[in-house]
Amino acid sequence: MASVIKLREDWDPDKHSSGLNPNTVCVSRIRRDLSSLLKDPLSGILVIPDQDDITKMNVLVTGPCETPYEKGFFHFFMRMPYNYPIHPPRVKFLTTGAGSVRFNPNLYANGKVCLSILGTWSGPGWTPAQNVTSVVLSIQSLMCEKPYHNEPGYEFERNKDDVRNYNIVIYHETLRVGVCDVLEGKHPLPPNMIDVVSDSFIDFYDYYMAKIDELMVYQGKPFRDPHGFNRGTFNFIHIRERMGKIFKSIQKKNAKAKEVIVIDD
Amino acid sequence: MAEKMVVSTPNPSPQIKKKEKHQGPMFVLKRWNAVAMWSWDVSCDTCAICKHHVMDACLRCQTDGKQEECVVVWGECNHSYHNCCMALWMQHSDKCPLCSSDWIVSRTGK
Repeated sequence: MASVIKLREDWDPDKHSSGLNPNTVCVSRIRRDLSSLLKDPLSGILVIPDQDDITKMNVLVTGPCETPYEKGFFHFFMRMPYNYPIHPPRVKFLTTGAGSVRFNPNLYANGKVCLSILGTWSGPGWTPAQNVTSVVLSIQSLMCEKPYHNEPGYEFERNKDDVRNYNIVIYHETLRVGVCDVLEGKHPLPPNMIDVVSDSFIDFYDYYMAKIDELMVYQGKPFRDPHGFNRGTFNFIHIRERMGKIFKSIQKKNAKAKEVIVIDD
Repeated sequence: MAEKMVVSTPNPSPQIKKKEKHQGPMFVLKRWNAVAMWSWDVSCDTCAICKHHVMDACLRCQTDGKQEECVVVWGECNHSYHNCCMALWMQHSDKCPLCSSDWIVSRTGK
């Protein structure tokens, strides 16, 4: 007999909290999770705990290579419950263009992250043997090569070019929201994350330009999102302009910072 | 102590002495030191729930001053946890946190 899986409704770390103080075991366990993450850092993932409250942490996931999320900056907020690790953390996806973009069938525009280990999706659930590392790795794994298939019932391509059409929408939104919005400060980031993102942007700039050139054939055409999640028109020209401005302003800032160092010498 | 471990006899019997003239003993064992290795017969020695060593008391018992009462529980799947950590998880699930097999206690103790 199939068991009825109850998905948790209280997934939002901003809206739901027991209000109880974390017990000593919870705090010690979070420290151990973080120190093991420091010992073995994950590529493309930055976890910064809140200075005043260790149960809160900001997570930055850089879109993995060879995926439509490549080199985008995706910000998550994670909060551990007072009885962690008996209960899983609550996670919210924040890089959603103010709730307008659904980056993945499992990453909703309202910030819900659908993952079985978080209790927000069917499948193998949370166990206390899991930790911060396994949670952020699972989140990163959602950003895959063909996210089209993440939607249940879409394990096979329903119409020709569905996978490609969906990927192009994601590529566009990654560059527009996951890079431009983030770098322009439209999406507030914790201060120590801004520096990391700015440095990475300069390193990734050539990739962004090459990708825009490659996708320029879609300029002015409407989105063809086979899931119907995202609506809009491709505007790679505008993205290129915005990136050019961001590039210049970061360089200016860096040059100023250098001047200061020279004066200090 | 070392003298007791010497195997070669200092005064060999005349019969052996005869033989020695032709061919000496192949080798003489002068001393041997036994070295023993041990490890717990479990697949992990850290409690996967609190990440403290299973042979140390869990943090909860340490802060409550119940170090002596904090025992280890082994499952049939050969995974081990602090009994009190496992008791908390058992309120939510009857599966082993590491292998997700049905949790059946094989023994508890230190």
